[in-house]
Amino acid sequence: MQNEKIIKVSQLTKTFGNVKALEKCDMEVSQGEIFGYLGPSGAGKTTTIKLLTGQMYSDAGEILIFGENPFSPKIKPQIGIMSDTSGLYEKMTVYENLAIFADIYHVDHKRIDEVLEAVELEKSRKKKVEKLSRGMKQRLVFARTIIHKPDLLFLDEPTANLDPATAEEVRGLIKKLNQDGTTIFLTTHNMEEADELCDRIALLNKGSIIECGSPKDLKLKYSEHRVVLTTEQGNTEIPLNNDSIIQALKENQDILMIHSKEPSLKDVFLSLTAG
Amino acid sequence: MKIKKLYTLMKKDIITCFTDINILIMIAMPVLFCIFYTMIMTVTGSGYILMLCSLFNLSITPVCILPALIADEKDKGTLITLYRAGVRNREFICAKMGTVIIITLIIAGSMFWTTRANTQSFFIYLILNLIVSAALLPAGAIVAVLAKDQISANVYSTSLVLIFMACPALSVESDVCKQFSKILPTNVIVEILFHNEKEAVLFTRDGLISILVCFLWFVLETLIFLYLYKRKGIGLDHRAQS
Repeated sequence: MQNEKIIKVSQLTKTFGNVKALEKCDMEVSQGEIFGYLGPSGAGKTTTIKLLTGQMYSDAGEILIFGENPFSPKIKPQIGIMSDTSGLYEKMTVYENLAIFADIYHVDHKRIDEVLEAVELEKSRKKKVEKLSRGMKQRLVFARTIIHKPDLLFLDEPTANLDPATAEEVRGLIKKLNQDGTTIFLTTHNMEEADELCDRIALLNKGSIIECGSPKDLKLKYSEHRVVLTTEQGNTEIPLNNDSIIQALKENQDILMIHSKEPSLKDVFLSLTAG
Repeated sequence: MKIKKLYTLMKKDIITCFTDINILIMIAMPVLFCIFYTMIMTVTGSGYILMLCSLFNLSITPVCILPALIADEKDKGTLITLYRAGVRNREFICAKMGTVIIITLIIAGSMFWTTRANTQSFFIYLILNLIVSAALLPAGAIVAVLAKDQISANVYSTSLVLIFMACPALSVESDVCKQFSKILPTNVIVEILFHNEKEAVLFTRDGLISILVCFLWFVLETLIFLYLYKRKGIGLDHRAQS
């Protein structure tokens, strides 16, 4: 069911000493969507993932994942987690690394061949992990994360420190997984990536969610509602309404371009966190 | 705790033992020393060499290799990966302990055949190694809880190795060491194996007392481990991973 809420978070709070890492955060993630969790470094993104995946206890609030608390062993087979620490056995081969987790998840070893093909590492199956490039290791980590066909994926900055080509490959894998029905909770500080991938995003700053919605809706909400006309004389901004546009078209015969002036997600975030 | 999961974890750990250079050196040392001393100390007798090298093995393998295996997983980030996959603390630790016992017995067997000891004592020799390594495994687990990484694990372990190995080894030459070593679990090797060189005899008075000492050490170490584990875990929020 498309609208079923897979993740429900209510008044989530976490403090480290005197520092409030998260303060009364509320959010819901529906089945089948890619939910982006955006914010600068230190905003609380990784802390949130650790709380949602049962790696840490919260100080207050409630978390439900598939209707269970995140520490429930029932949900472990349904979720996959990928973070910045690769956690690969460097002296073992690609295949052996995946075989360990196939056995832990009670998955048939035939699935290893499927995921190797999905991440384009089938030719490297007998290579030791220490011989792989960074991009290949990241793809192997991705393969390990999806080996048990999780319904929900937590991806903590999956393209961080990757070159643009490899990052694009990983984004392609994320999109494909989502097309196959996997719900994805993605953290990133890359606004363009979130704009490209996410159905909805939450903007996080200093431990609080300051805005939530689809990228398109947020950009419209914070749009200045203006249009830019480009003529041979230069650019002119006019209000975004029918009368202004029609008047401008009548007055300017040499219009080269017309485009709406929308903020990017980065502009939205900066405007929300300014001052 | 599922057997298949334990088997998977142990298989992985055994591979690690033979591919991680630090751990491989710790495994090889007692065997290499045994070979070396067998070659140069032909006059002294195989029983003495086997005793010395067994003390070496039993002091190192449970006390150094167990924390090294755990610290290795912490350092490389594989520990948290296993937890995320649903591996519980007790499965993780039991797999490591099982691996260490197997490695201990492999080393012990290799040394026994190297010294060409009395084959009639082989079974009892393995039993003794099993008893002592089981008694010292919680000590290794304590080191694993206290150590932040492999380097600090090695530092803490080395102190324990000296205690468990030196006194029993010197007990053949020193009455003071002999008295002190009676309270150490490794003394069972001296009491049962060395003092009955022709054939190891398990059920002598001193032998049974030594085995009882092993049991008491096991209980004491386990209590200390459980206390420390409750407070510190093994590097993660252990309340989430029990």
